[in-house]
Amino acid sequence: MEFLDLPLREQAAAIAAGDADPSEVLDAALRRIEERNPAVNAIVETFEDESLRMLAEAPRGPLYGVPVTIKDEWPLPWRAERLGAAQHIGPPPQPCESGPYRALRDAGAVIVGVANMHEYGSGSTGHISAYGAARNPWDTERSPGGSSSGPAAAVAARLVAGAVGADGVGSIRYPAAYCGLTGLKPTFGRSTMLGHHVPQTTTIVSGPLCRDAADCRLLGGVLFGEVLGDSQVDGMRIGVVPGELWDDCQPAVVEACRESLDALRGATGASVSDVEIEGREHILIASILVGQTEDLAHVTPERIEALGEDVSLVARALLRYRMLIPAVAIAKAGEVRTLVRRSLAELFERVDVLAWPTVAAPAPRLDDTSVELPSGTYPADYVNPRQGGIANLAGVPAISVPVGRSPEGLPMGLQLIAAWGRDELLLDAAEALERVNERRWVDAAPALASV
Amino acid sequence: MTPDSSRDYIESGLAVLGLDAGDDEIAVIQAVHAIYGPPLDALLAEGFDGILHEPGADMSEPPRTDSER
Repeated sequence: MEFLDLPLREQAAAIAAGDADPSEVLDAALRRIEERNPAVNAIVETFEDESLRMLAEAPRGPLYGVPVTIKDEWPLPWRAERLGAAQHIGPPPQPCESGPYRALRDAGAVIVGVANMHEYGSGSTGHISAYGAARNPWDTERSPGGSSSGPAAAVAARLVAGAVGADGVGSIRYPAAYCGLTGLKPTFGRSTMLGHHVPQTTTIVSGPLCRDAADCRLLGGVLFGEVLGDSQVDGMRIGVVPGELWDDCQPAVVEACRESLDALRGATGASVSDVEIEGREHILIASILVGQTEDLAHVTPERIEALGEDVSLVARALLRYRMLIPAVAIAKAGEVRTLVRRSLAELFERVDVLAWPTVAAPAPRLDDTSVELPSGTYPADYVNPRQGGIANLAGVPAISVPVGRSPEGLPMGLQLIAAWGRDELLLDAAEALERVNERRWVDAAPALASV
Repeated sequence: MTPDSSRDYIESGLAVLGLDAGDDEIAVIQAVHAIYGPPLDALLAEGFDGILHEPGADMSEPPRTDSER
């Protein structure tokens, strides 16, 4: 095993102990990116001079000298965000010190590159990007998920051990599930959002994508600006919602998730009970309506018309479509939000976490991003928010934990959702799941990363 | 909404906004609306009568109880 194959926390510990030279680690990371990135297109830009400067100025923080990557959604002092797109809608943004950049800098981390993302953050597959699609390291003909496609592909390919993404309608959790990683969507407002291009958002959060829960705890703490504690989760009360969240998923996904919950129940004395969420039937459309209209304030017909053909046809069409959404639909999405929040608040008096598959099917192909479910064949972009949108709609934290591989060898993820502010509980529960699965899924690496 | 009526809606709606759209863009919009139209219609059909609004909703916190309003 090479140094870069170590988990994030072990890299940090080794450097802090003087067992690894951070300048050699940086050099190794850049060389590995050069060697492996063409196969996955995870990193869209490196900047050795800036990385060296970060290292030279790095304080002895919890991630001192550790190479990480950051999604193209976050501005850096030397590079404005491009959102995976060929053109900005409206005035181009300026470079600046975004919150995630500051957090990583102050932790002593070294940003070695900017990671790919789905164009404008408008998809859960990553197959549309001005840089070309990022590719799933488990099968490079398949989607790595989105919109944090590059961060997930980078960590799964072991280019880095930690990446900062953003999650507005599941955009950290879907890539985590598709790439066999652990991805945390924090409680709204708990992680830094400074410098984000949608400052008025009520859904988007920054968050970590890492190999396992302990690494997410470390990187998440950096983004939160606090050390996240841990505890045991014996006797945890788990709520499952009967119906399509489980029933309308591919059988292998259901089996892997159920087996993990059963193992958790046996090992920790956890209880599992059926619960219901009021307004659930509207969560898919409500989360999309809220999440995909918050950034429309700066969009004008003139700015849409100014987008050229180097912006994808889908993006140009969707922007037009969004301009036609009736205002009453947005108002009703707000009512769904109210219903769901009240329902969750009541539920979390009775259960500690909710559980269901992060995504209904493993990663689709890049050339056909539809998924086959018991109810029919759908675009992954349509189905994924049904599974993940509730957390963004309500503001609660959610995590995706790898729990198996499909018959095709593709990762599958279980999502856990907790009450506001209980991010640490999710990390504790994720670690418990890792233990009952004997770390089979979090320690596994695709063949591409085993070279 | 039939494909023909959806095209009429899309084209006239965009025209009101001063937006052009080519056949390809219209086709994509129609395909997207065919998928999202039904859940959108279901949402629009809801009256949401009797729901207490959450004033000053803070997404980082649970909703305030009725006694805290």
